[in-house]
Amino acid sequence: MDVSNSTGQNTGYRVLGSGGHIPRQRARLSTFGTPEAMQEDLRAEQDIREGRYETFSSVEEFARQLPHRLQRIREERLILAGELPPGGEAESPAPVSGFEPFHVVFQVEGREVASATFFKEPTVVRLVEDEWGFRVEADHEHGRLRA
Amino acid sequence: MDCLVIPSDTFYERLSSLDEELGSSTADALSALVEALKRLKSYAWDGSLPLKPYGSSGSSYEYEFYPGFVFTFRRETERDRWKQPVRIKLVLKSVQRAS
Repeated sequence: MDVSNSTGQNTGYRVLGSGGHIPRQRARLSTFGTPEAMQEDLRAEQDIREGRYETFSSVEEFARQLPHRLQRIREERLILAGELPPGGEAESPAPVSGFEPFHVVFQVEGREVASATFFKEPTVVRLVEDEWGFRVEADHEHGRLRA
Repeated sequence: MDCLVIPSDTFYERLSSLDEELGSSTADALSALVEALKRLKSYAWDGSLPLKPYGSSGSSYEYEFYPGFVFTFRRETERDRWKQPVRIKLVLKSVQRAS
């Protein structure tokens, strides 16, 4: 399961599953020139328009900060991977008809802002913000769900 | 000339993917990335660097900074009232496999 957010804020979250196992999906790089890569290019431009970027005053400053950024990326990825410790928490409801429920909680600055339970493992969950506030979106193999 | 480096969130995400993919070779790739940015900062646009323009705006480029991998960026030039360049901005957009 991949997790993403579109709030542009620091988002902490935890993924709780009754099965105690959430497969980790390997991150994948797109190939330059493909539709996926072009979509990524548009997303980056949108990042810039909406303030999701950092500014370094020089290449040297960027180089100095890069190891710290990489460390942060690695730490975030450990959370983003949604891996549960053996025997991890199981706050989700009882399984229904043999399905594994997956309870997803998004927190912003330590405060829960949105949660949802899915009875099939989502391939991607994301926190989105619109005029009604925060909500959880999930992609499944058969389409997108909103909670 | 001053040079601002502006990585987008998407760039960081893709850097994470590169890190996952390269593992212990990530440090070499990051060194190559920094070296590429240093070269770009003082680049005379004489075709000596492995970069290619793409897109319709004419200001976006792919740069093969590490064998098999490119980063994409947009270059902006700020000018003074006499139209002289005073600062460049390198907007880092993504990291991708070379096509």
